[in-house]
Amino acid sequence: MAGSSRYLAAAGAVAMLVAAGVPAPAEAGASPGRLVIVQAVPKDSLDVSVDGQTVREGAPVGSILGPLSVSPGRHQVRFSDSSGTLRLTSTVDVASGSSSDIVVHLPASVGGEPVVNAYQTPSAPIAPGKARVLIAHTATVAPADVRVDGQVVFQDIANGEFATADLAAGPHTVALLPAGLEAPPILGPLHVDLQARTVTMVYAVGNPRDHSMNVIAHTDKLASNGAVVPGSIDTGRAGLAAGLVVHPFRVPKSHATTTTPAVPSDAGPGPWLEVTAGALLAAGLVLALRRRRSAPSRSG
Amino acid sequence: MAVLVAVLCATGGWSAWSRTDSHHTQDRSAGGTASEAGPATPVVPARRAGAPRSEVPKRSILPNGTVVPIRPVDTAGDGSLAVPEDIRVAGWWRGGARLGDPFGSTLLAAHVDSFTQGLGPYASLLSVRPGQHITVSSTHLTQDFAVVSLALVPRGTLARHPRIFSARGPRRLTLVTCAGPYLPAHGGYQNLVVITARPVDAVGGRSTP
Repeated sequence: MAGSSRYLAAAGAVAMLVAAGVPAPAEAGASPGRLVIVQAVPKDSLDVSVDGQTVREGAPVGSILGPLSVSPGRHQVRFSDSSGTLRLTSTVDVASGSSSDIVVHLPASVGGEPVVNAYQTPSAPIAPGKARVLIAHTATVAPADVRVDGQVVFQDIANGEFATADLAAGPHTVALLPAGLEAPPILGPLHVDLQARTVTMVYAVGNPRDHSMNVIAHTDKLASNGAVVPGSIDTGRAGLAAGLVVHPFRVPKSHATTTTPAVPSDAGPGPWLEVTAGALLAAGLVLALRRRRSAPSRSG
Repeated sequence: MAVLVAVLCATGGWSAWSRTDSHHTQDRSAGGTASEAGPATPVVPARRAGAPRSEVPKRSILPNGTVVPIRPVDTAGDGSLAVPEDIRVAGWWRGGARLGDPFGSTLLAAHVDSFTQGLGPYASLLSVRPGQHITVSSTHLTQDFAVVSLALVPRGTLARHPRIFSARGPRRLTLVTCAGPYLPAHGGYQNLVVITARPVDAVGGRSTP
């Protein structure tokens, strides 16, 4: 069923931004939690219900359902396919004010049964000019490293695990590689353009052995941590350092004793995945929302 | 709140999915296992991996061995960085990179002197040499940085030097204090000393928290 539908159909998930109200009204005083349900099981088309109420029937891989507003406490999330071969019921404990993705996906082993993981949205306020990413390994593949702009940023992430970091807003390349190896990439390099004050949840799905690797991603806004780029720095009053002679220098890059950790940084975008960039652009994807960082301009 | 959705396509279409591959991969999934018509299984919160959790820097050791505590600082109403009054303490601009972040500048600034305290520890940075080490630690992490440059930046031209603050670019430590000439009639110190240091190795756990 869904296995035959092209991914663009799955991209129709954009249209599914139903803030589907799931029953259970929040108790007085307790703010509800938010759940987003991500269908990351290739080929399958799943019926998804929460507390017995259908959220979506026949959700194809790539479906992103929600956000659902649910009351704090225990909820039941159920996945099933029409043939009845898959019935997966999970309980989720939702904290007041929390925000999580509930992701059904395949394990690393080929032929393994689907598993369900919860990924809490890293929603702490963020500094100016930055964007946060959470990258989860939900693919049929061994542990992987994640390279951002050619640099290994996350090492050895296994199926079900995730990593998260704050990056500069703007364009980046992201690639998934077999843990400890420099090539060939399992996925990417993907060209992404991260908007300031957002968090992007990225799920790697598929199987590199049959070239079916894809990512499912969605982006949400974050609050600012209130920091403001300073226009001036005043770090002295008394003139006691006036007589100290200062000799500026710069160590040539080739002689620098240091590099950032563990990075042979050779990474340009690989030619084998220009296809990917094309697909991204063609799909007009949200990740590519380009916004130039606002340059600090105050001077003091 | 609206959630923006993107489904990104890599090399193949969905029709290429296959689960019949004979390649065996390591499975250390933390997820709850599926079972046909089984009872409800609690969803396991996914395990964090890949990199240590970034932390606010708390302490630094300068090349001459002086320990300088660090506290987070903001930008004051007049646009200036609210550097700690105590010259023995450095301010970390809380908009900048934390210890453990993969990219960007961690900006630390301290007064070079004061009328009541004399010269501070950061005065020693005016004579720092290439390759000298600065250690920065947080509650659980520590990392060594080696000095790669020292520049004089005229005060009032900060906006022209975004690398001092920027989240973009390689991981680096940026130390700032004041330097001469000292012209009392023109606001005192005329320059900032900007020292850049790059990580010597990956951020690691602290042996003595």
